[in-house]
Amino acid sequence: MNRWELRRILEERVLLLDGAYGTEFMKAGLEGGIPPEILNVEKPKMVLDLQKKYVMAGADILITNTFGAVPAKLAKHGLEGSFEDIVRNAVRIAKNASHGKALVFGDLGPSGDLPEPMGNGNFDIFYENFRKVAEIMLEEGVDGFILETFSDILELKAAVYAVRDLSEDVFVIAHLTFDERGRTLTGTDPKNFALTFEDLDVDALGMNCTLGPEEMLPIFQELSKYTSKFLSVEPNAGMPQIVSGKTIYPVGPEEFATHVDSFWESGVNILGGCCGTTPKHISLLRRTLGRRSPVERAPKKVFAVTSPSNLVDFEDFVVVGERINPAGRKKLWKAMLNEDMPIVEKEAKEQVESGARILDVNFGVERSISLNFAKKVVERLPYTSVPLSLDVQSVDLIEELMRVYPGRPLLNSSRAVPGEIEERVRILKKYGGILVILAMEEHVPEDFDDRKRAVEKALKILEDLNFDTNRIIIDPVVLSLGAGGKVDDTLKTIEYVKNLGFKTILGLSNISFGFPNRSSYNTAFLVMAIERGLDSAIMNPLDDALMKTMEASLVILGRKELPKKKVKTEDEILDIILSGKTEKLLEIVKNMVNNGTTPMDVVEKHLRPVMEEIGRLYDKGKIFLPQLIMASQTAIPSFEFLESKMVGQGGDKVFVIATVKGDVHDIGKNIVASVVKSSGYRVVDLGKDVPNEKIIEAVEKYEPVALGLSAMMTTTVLRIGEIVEELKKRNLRVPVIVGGASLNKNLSKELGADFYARNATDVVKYLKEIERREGN
Amino acid sequence: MPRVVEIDPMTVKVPERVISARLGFKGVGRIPEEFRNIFEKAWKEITKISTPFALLEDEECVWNEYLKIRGIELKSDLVRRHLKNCEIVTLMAVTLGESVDRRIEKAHEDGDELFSYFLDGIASEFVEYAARKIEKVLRKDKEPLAGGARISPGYGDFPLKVNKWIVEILDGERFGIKYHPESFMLIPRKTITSIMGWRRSE
Repeated sequence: MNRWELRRILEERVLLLDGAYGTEFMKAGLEGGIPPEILNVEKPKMVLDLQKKYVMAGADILITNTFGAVPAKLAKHGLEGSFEDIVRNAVRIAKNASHGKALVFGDLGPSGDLPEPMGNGNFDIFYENFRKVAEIMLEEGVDGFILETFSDILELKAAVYAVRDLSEDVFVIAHLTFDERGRTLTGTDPKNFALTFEDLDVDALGMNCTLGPEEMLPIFQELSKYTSKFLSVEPNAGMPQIVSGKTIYPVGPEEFATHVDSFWESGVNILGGCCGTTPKHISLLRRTLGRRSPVERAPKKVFAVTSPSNLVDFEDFVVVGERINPAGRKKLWKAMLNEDMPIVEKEAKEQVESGARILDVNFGVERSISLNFAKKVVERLPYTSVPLSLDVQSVDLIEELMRVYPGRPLLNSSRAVPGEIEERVRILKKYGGILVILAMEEHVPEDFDDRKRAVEKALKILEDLNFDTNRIIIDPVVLSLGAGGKVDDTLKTIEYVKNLGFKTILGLSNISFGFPNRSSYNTAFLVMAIERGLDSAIMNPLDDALMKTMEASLVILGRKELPKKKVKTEDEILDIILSGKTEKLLEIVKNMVNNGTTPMDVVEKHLRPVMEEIGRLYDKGKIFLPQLIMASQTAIPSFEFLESKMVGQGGDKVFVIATVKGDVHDIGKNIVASVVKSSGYRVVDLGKDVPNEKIIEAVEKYEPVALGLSAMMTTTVLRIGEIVEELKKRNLRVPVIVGGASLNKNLSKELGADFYARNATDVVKYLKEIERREGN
Repeated sequence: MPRVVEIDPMTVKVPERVISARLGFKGVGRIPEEFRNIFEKAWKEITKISTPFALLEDEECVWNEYLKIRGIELKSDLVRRHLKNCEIVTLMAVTLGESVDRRIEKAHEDGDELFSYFLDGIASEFVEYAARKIEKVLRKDKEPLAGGARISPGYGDFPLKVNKWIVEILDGERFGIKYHPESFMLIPRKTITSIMGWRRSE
């Protein structure tokens, strides 16, 4: 069956994979240390019997007994000579067992080595190993491939290309294996996996092994949020336990099957079992799964580049470090010619420590640099640093480097010239990544019109090539002042590109080329460009004045939060609040007041900064929601005490909150009320299922800083629109902040709300923004 | 008259990881030690005060373009896909009862937001796992018929308004299960309605 037929089936129904092999063979007598793949040639009946059981149990797809059959791995057991027989027989046995009742997927597992610098492997070694296995499997007529239990993204990419280079018509599933923290061995999380592989020509993404169904579910759900590929999962039968020297998998078939609904609701298309699962597990999965169609998903789009353990989106301004570029830097050029990796790594480290979130890599005169060295830089650097921007000119070199890049890079860049874009798009379609489009055609643009025409032309070419324009970023092109560059044309282009809805990037230092005191010119121009909406710049992060001015510009323009007085995590008050010591906190606060600190100062200089820090810790995932709630609950009595001491002194900032009419769920609203209260606001909580009129009356009565409305369900969100309308009618000007499960940014806007809050800390941030705007 | 199945709350098992994830301990897999006491207290309270039961009613299916039950056509593609070819449909409501809502509310009124949050999170999973328990029994009872997925109003294009219809067929009000007349949300809040289709095995 080809991939297109299988994709059609998967649109209609969820399919079932088989269960474990290794643990079942061990039960049947296979000794530890003997690779199960040898059974394909020495005891084929043992493999056949197990696979027949899986077919009987109702598996739709059988996996070949080849998990460890790559030549490099077999060589460790001295079995490289039997490699071809092992693989060929595996497919034949599975076909025999399936007897046309199940599809047969070739199984490729990792080579057992990690890429440098963690191990001794590299892309080319991985690729060659997988290609050898895949070639035989295709000759034997497998229906698809499952690349499973990979713990490194580069090795998984190598396996994908190895299969795809042999066949574009075969179905491919790509799996990583995650630990309990939701990371692979080399640091990739499910969101990063989803975004990196979204561009690649694989049919399904998923995960298997290491974890049981319970542990795996939240990680699977995270993957499901961000990928549009089919989803596949094979949990272990629980986390392995050692009992009397034997490995036991604690989750029995019945318990295993209870998780079907959770995975189905999270969007699974292909479900099976990994270590410790048995034909009985698969049989109960079959019974519970029945013949159901998959649920529909609406994955989130994120504009981001990745390295194995870093994902950089462009929501905040992105500094792309420019210093790995030998132009005008003799020492670096010499290091590159000498293939001196430590020098390049040092350049990378310094820039990242100074604030670079992506590194631009330029090899200068490319033909002088050894291909091996260039590949080594691009393959290794992302593991110890941040994502890369490949600033490379030669198409051959671009292809070589994109192929071995462990993640989703920026490709810098292409002019609006048909052949040039076409070549890069071909490479990007195969290897993934985001393309920098220069707002210029063959010749340097003279004015805004030239740039605008170039952008329009590039977009047309991309459309003709059927390339997703969510994968481009546009460089408005800044020319050296010395060469007569007109800054205004570049700035106008930034605005034009932003209005089209695209992100922007600039090679900042071009502006000052040939000038003395370059830093001043770079800094002045960056401020202007940021003011027009620039999203990122390739620049020198070691230029302290430039970086500080950039930070300040972003704060002034409201694109970044004001840097707060750093509250150390060892801060006594922070510790007390985070550990829930309500009485202790109250005692400290009372002592402060008794010793002469004004209540207002206790709020503004002590409690508020700490609560803001706690909000930041929550936003960064350093603390969990229950900790945020506990912290709020701990701080509230102290705020109430201070409030009682400030009566008549002003500063009474009211926030009115309600769950709208028809909505009986209020736990989210209660959390928001609690967190807002603990940030020093007086909260008027109107409760749940509140009629519109009562909400309007409260706004009239309390004249709050803002009105918060919570609506959980599709049947109740429309109340928000009604309330906003009524507020307008009565000329009540109050910012409206909304939140709830059925809402999102766009819907909130349509309903006329001013802010959409994803959580309680968002609400506090918006309240502060409102106060700042109003000059309170 | 629907079939009423009482569920012993002590027999409902919810994996700790599931509750931990529901409460927001993302990627941790268990309740952290500093929250262990409050978790255990909330769990005990839920098992003590909840009175879980299910209302079940089997209905024959008539298929045209859409599924028709008691003369009402369920114009939902989700239903059409998931209940395709089924002969019988089971309508189901599972609830923990009103006292759970009251206890969550009371903790909120007392200013103990954290406890209220723990009670709410545990109860949400508790009712789901009580429904799974009933589903498991049904799958066994209905053999050799095979059951599809259990789907609930609010999924995809299967509107919340169907809650009204299910509650009325199950005579829910008599057993203390109601719906909000405007939003069709269920009261008590920890209540799940769903439908499952049964077809001949292939």
